[in-house]
Amino acid sequence: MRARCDKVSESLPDFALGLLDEIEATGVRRHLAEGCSSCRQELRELEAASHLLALELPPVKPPAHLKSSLLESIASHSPPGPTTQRPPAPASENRRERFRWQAALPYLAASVCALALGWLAAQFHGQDQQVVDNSAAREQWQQQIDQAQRDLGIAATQPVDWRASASSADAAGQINIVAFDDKIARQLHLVVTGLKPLAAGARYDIWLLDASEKVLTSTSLDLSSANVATGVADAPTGSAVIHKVVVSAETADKPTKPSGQIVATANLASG
Amino acid sequence: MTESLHSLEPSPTSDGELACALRESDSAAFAELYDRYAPRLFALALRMLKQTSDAEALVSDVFSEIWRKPTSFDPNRGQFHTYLLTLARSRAIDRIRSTTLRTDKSIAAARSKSAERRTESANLSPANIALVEERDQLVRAAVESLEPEHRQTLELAYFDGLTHVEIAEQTGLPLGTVKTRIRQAMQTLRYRLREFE
Repeated sequence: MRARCDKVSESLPDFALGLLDEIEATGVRRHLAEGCSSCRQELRELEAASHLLALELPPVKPPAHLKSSLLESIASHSPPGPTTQRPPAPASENRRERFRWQAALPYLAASVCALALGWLAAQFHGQDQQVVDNSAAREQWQQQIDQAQRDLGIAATQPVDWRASASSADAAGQINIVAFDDKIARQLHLVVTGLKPLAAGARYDIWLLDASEKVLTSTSLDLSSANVATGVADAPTGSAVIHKVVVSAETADKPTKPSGQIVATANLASG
Repeated sequence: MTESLHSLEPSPTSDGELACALRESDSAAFAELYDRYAPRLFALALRMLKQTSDAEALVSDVFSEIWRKPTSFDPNRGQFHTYLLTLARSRAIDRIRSTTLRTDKSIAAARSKSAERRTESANLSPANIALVEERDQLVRAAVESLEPEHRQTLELAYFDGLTHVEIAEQTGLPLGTVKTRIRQAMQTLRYRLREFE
């Protein structure tokens, strides 16, 4: 135990900063979970020490509207009413209907988003769990969301699920795209299942397009070993209408539109 | 002295008490914690994300999370401000690594808004102002005790979310040197923190 402690202790500064690779981090987490009080204490001290860098920065007062919008948000953090906030029921068989931005994702409380992502983090970066099947990952995720709804008293929260058509051999199977709308942070949290690993230097980007194929928002995806990729994009603004979601394999640095191989497309609008 | 560094709690209500109140959905406690820590988190977010809009979103994200999940903070596992900063930095790194940040960085513009900048002691009593100032001096002393090259390397990891390899590529340093500098810098800060206690 002592030798193990020494080895873990050596890694704790990097662990506190999030610099360890997943295998090393898993080893540290396992050791901590076994109840090593000295390493736990050392980690607490190192985390506090690292934040001295942040505490040295001069404080900057955020804009006043930030506080007011937060207070407004928490004051209205109650189950949505059935007629004013619930979304129109999605077509059960065919999702190729027009998704107006405000109508497509209005009811996904940020809390569920965060919990779902928290679960994802645990799922894909946890010690013992490995997602080996996309449908299983999806089902477990949904269960976590259901639990979050029960815990938080939020009704009718569910992800928007875009089933994409794979257009290249880069797909590992059916590609599903799930979006969570964080309305407070004005971000979309995107999860794509069914992608294959890419060659070194390449990455997956996801693009949300309007009817004229103009890019409303985009982001790069981080692909895990379980064919699941995640990313966070700024939410489209105003009355923008998402007509199409595209996943592309890119090598260029910061392209402004899909320029690499199109891997999957989800058409959301009927015409 | 311990109090001045370890508890950023200039008002009579402690962080722990406010955190407990959050569990009862106390919005006044939430507002108090926001006033207490939002400027710190916003400064960190600006430093890491470079964009005012991203920094605002991050601060919203973090405070929304502590409201939604008030039990996530375990007072037995550390200070509340450490929890908040860890949460904020983690979310910022998620954004750095997952989001294509816009290139027109506006941190300079944000920093030029001196009218919006303030020290957090603005509304404190003279005694608490003294505590805050003493704490700030201790923090500065701790960070300034780092070797400049160690500090630079650590800041690339802490603020920019770079990995060892990325830091080595960016600085041209051998990978082993990067690892050594970061570990030594972290231990130096840790020991300085202990000295304050």
